[in-house]
Amino acid sequence: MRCCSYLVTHRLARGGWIAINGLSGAVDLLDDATKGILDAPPADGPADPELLSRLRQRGYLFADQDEEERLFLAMWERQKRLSQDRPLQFVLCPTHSCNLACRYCFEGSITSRAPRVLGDEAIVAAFRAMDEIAARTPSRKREVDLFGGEPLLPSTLGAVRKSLREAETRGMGVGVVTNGTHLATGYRELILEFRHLFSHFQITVDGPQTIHDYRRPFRSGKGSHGAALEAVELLVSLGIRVAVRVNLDAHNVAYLPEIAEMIVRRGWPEQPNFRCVLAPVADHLGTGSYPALLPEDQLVRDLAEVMAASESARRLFRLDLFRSAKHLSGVLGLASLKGQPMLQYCEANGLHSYTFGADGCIYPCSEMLDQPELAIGSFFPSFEIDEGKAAPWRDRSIVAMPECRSCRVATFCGGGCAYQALKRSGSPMEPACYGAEKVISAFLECFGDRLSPQ
Amino acid sequence: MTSLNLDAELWFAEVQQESAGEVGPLCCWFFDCWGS
Repeated sequence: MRCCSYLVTHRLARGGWIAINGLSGAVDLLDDATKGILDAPPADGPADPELLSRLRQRGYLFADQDEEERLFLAMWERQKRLSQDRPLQFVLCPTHSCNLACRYCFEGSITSRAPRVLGDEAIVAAFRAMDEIAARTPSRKREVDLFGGEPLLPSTLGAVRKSLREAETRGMGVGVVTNGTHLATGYRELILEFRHLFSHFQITVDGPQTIHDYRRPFRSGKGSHGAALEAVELLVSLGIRVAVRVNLDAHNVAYLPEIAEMIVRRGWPEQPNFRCVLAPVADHLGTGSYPALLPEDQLVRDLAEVMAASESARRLFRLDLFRSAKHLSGVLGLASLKGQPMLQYCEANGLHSYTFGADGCIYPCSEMLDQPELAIGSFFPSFEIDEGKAAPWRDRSIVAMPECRSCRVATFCGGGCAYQALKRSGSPMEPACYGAEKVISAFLECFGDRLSPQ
Repeated sequence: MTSLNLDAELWFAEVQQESAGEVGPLCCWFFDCWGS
């Protein structure tokens, strides 16, 4: 007998162990004797036939490596099939410019360069390129998400209208990631006209007014808090799905209770078209240029402290934000959804997402704009996918990276950010470790007392 | 040994329960907070 290679165990403060199985998804409480069996499996397994059966059934013990490998590959094939059930995502950036100067912005100087907005001809070309890409998987649904820069600027009104018409013609739902600053004013009429088309909006609110305004000022220095709230208010009232996103780091994590109370006072959580999402501020390129950045395991600890002290924060916010602990938080009832094995870090892996930049290039990731040398193709003036550049993105998964195959937390980590790997090593086909095991450990330290059988 | 999730929710279960989970991880910027 051999023990599962993808296994995380953690000693609980109250005694005993928790085991999280990265091959089967099993989460179990173990006594010391059972933990000892997993540490050094007897050749024929444990003497107790019932325990042997349970440990086999839950994916902890295998007859040999081949048996484990067969299950791993079967899981991979199953995940590939399931991934086709999710819509193919097309991200469209009408511009890379933005009217805000957020302190943690990952897009850097591209948002403040001379404004460039997609014209009608380029937008038509983008949607035709989407048609061609989607034709390779005709049974799959597709959707378009407007992104930027800031997609809803006065200068992009015509481009957004044209994009909505093109999406409508194709029956594609439209999501919008926006700072909301022009939504309730210059974009109100357009949103009313196309309200049937929007699948969701995402608007960032990073704190109470002083905190938000410090983090997300207009380029003039004026705060954007009021405009963002007005935008959320409008969408909630129209019955359009809207998610408030809170970008979290050391600067604002302590203000979550105030954010929760502000949202509750406005009555938004009572509306079925409203959600909140927490998102750690990430530095995928490792620039180290944002001092308030928190390692994810530290953010887990800080969040646990804040949540323990605030009922309103506990009730409003779900802990979906930690990828590597997503399965665990789902099992513990702390996340909205139970997780699946993370064989790919995000939708850029496998090319489940294509980003169309205002530079006419097609990128595998929405964080790569204005770097034509990294693009996998173009849509304007002509459509082309460079298969040589696209292949590593299409193939990237923990299955394809040997270092990941021998890592016990690989199925909770997904191999890390491919863009970060590309910048570091010149190829996306390298792991970009981000301390998944530390995050899982921190999660167990902080929330282990919630563990109880279903 | 006390199980915190069901056998039918295991990732290699032949027929997973509907509640077993959603497909795949999510992009950094387009959270699927509504569920698929």
